[in-house]
Amino acid sequence: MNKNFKELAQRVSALREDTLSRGETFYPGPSRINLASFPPIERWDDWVELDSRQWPKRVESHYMLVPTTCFNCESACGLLAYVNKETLQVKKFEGNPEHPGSRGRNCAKGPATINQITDPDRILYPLKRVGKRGEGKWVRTTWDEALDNIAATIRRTIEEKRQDEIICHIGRPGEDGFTERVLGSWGVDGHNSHTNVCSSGGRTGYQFWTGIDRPSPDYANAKVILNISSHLETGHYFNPHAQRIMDAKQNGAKLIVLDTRLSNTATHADYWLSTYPGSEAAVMLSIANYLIQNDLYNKEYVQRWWNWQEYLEAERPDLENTFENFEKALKELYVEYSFEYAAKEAGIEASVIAEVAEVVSSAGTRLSTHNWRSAAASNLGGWQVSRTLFLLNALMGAVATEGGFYPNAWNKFVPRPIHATPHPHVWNNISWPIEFPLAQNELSFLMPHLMKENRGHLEVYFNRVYNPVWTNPDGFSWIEMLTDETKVGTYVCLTPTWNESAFFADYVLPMGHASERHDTFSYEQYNGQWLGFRQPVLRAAREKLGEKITDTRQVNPGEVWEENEFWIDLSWRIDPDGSMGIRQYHESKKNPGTKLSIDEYYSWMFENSVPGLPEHAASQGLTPFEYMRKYGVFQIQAGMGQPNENGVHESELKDLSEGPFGRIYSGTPAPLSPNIAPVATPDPDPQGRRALGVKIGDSIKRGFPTPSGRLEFYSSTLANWGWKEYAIPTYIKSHVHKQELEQDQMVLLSTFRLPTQIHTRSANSKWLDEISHTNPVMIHPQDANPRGISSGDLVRVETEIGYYVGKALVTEGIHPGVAACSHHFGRWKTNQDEGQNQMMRTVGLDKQGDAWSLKPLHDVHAYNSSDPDTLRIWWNDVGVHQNLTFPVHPDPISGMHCWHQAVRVRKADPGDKFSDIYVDTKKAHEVYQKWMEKTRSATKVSPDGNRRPYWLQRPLKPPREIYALPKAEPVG
Amino acid sequence: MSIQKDSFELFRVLGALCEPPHPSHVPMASVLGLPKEPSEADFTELFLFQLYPYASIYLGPEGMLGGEAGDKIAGFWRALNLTPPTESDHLTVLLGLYASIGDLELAEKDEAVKLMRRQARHVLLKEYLLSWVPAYAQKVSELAPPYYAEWARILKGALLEEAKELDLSQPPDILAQAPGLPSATEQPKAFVDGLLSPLRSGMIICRADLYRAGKDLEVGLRIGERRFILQALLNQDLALALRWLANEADTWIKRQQDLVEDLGSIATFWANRATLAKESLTKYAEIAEQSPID
Repeated sequence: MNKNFKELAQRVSALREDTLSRGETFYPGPSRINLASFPPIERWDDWVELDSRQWPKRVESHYMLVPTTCFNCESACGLLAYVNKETLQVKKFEGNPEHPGSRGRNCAKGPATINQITDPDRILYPLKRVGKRGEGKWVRTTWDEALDNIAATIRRTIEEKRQDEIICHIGRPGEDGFTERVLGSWGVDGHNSHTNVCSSGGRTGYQFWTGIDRPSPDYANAKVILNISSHLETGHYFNPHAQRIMDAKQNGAKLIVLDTRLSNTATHADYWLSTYPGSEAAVMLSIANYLIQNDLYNKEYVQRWWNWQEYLEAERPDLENTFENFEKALKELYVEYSFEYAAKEAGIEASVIAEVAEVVSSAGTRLSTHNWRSAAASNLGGWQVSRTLFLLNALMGAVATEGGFYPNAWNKFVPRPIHATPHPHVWNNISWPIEFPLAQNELSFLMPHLMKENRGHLEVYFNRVYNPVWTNPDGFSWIEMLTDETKVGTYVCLTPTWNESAFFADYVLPMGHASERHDTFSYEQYNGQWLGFRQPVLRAAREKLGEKITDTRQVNPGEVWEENEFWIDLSWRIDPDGSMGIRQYHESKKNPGTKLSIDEYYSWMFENSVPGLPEHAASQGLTPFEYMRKYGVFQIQAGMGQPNENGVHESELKDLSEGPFGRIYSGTPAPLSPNIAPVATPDPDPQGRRALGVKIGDSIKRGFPTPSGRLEFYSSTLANWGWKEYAIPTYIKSHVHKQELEQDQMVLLSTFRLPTQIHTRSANSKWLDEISHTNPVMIHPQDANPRGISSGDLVRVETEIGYYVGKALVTEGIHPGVAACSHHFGRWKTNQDEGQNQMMRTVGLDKQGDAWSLKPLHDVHAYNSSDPDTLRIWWNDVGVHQNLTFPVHPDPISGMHCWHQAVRVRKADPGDKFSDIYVDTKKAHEVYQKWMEKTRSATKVSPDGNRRPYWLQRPLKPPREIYALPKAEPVG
Repeated sequence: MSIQKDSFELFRVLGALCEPPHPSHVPMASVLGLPKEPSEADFTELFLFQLYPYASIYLGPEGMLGGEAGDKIAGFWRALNLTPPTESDHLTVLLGLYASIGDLELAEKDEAVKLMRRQARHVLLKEYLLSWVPAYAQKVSELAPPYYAEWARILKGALLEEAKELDLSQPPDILAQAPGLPSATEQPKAFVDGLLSPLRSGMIICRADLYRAGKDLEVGLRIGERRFILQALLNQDLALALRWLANEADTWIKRQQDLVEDLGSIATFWANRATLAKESLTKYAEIAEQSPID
């Protein structure tokens, strides 16, 4: 290179390096090279914008931009709060361009966080019930009073060895593992996630294959994308996935969507398969059969990574155990799943499935597939939907490949915290009833029925950011349980906003939104690992201005708190002198005997458990904690390779043993990993050596965290625990299969979400409410016409236990024979003066014996408040609360509530009003009992005297001895 | 840091500097030794009114944004398994892409992949940068205020340095396949349109050139888009205007001949196009002089 240009080029490089080393942006502004139009990070401390309300005058406002993380859906996209430096108020939220997952791009719910924090109806102070539960009478109380009272009850309960009478029911996850650790420190097996009304079905299918229960497709690099799902990719959930699907499409990827309804995702698909509900596994198996019969699958991969030898030994002892014989057996296994068979089940054309199968076969290892809720969460045996979907990846070898499918734990990083808390030495029979030994998560939605059978009692019941009365099926049974003080002693509701469940609480304790609390988390969004930091932005801003903040309540509105400080404080009050052994897990390490501060908690984590962060922060002259306060996120690694192919470190290759089919065990202790992302824990060998890896050829590879160390096409767990017929991926006919329905019945699809709402928590976001506030009953013209139903007509939707009155929307965007009504809507309150006014109508509840009714009294309307926009509310139709009319349908294997309903849809009666509801809770309990008959109790099927296979994941995992079956099945 | 890595960063910076003026440009301009920073009006005048920094304008037969040339460039992005950005043929983007491919090439350990990256970079350099930017930069350096004139000189010089890596005995495909000027006598309207298409005429004629023509020819200047201005000039005195254009073509021939040593077949292509334009214009002018319009 010419000397002059060489010098110029060197000067440019030096300038860039110098700029970046100061933590500043070199290519900011409206550049087409890097992310455009985001404020460069070096100007985040003083960002100037003109005040739009002052127009035409040019009045400058100065802002401090503070990163945090969205708290609406789970995916944890980065947000940037614009904190006005003069008023110290948040003006708005935009995307955080530094976030590697969301990349500065957010869905509507992120910016709407400003509505949530300025909601005129939000709960600002701790409230305590006066009068009867649910009567709606409250007094403001102090945090001290509430904490002391709750702590005293918990202390007494623990001291009396009634640990199973404390349960915390979790809605939106906050920090990965935080609540579990708090409960662990108390010795309480009381973690009760909502997962069995959410994603257990999908998770189960993945867990049996890989030992890891969430999917993480590398969409951006895929050649073919096949989704049995809609709301993730529609943007209700996981906007980072949605944007990468669009990236892939722009690169020419084909998008295949199985969705009964014409969802947003389906509208973007190259192939939209409007399958009959529950038929999805049959369609997947027909595609698998096509790949198998035509030798279009990746034989080398199957031979290398499937546990085919185990399958042959267990199921085909007649054959010599060779791969050639397995291939022959495989050809026989799915031969009945022709395109014609699948087409008949799904109600679509065989030629379309054939075309899709050909597209799938062209993907090679760039096949991205996804199923989360949708069909897996809706059907009896829905867990086989994700299992048969993954079968396609396993056949193509598209597992942990560029453009393929990653098990989520490989794209996730959960840092080891300052204190390692023990797992409890008790078993909670309400959360983990003995009838469900293979359940993916806690059977939380069955709680009212288990309590009705006197199988337990709760002394203290927390729920946090969760609304079981509204969200769960059979909400009236929840109300019956929550209002019965002999069943629930103290009900504590930790929530940022009013909800239907909070009305029945003893304490309503206000918790912060996205910009008002601390959490760390990491979610599968692309092929990489990152750690996000949620923080109270006003705390970060005021600390930057020199203030010392020791309690997030100092900066939050009213007395709104954050959970982490709350749990630490509560734990101290339970065990004030440390004699119960609880306090030690909530103490400072720097100053033993004093309370652990949030700053110390995160400083320790960022300094000790996040690889690369200390060095990276130091290069900018920051501590790791300062770095996370400044950027809100850190990317630990991009491009994870194929972890199953990784070798094993030499130091672990000692005291080895080899189990069947090359499973390798090691007598060395497992090295302490800073990443504690949850994965299954395969059993040790009979001598107690831990599962280390698997022998592939002549070398030992890390493999998968399954009993065999391989991908488990054949699950010995299912076979040995009473479900031999489902030991391999297969098709289970749904409870709403056509042969299960009466002539006049239809399927009701109730699980779909809208991109502009999030469960019930977004109902205080005025922007979102204006966009989406009602849920018509979608019905195909072929079904509407014979019933004389037109769009706008009131219709009765009759379930097994009652009915609701909705408004019809006649559309061809739904499969004939299926009705659909969305989630989110039909919010209600019984007292016009409490609760939330933008989306909750006032209703009257009536109970006559077991018969409940809900009648609308006052619609939503414009009202006067601190926010002038509430006078501009123009909508009054806020939909109907359909979940109240659904009985529980626990899948006997996954434990997932099977959401689909067999219903009758007809024109409403003359006296019916929109949103009327009627339910018989006696019938609801009968339906519960009918479904319990499908279960196979551990007492009957357990092969080893335990309640549950120890290797399966469990959020809190008691020691092995606690897994032993009780001497008699617990009753009474 | 390797010299090559430095040179890729230089291209990225040069790309950033043809974005609207921004405080972050000040230190970049300073290390490049650019004179007084431009105003927003300078930027607008140069890049929005006179010389649009989009490859499709110079490499497409229509001489307009997008079209087949735009599609080809977007296709190049896709071939690299990259999502084409909204303006995939903008000079900033192309220089940024060039630098990014170069960075990947340098970081690559697998020799086969490294070679593929190098080949991709060479294709980008030859097909979509050297094929038009030197001529474009030459024009900018003659027309723009000192800041951008110097920027253009550095850009042109740096690209000619990069060109030394390539075999330029054959022209880029995008030029080799390009249609020429329509016949002036058989399709006079298309011929006039073609004069404003650099790929067909071998000339970059911007608004400032047409204003100059009005002044030189002492005819009235009608302000509008370029085609309108040019047509107005031709309508007033066809023969004189054609002679003026032929003279412009001659200037472009000389400009390109000066580049033959560095750009080989590329400069030859442009010089040939300008030569053919000059011949057509001269012939057309002769016809016009023989049958003057009333």
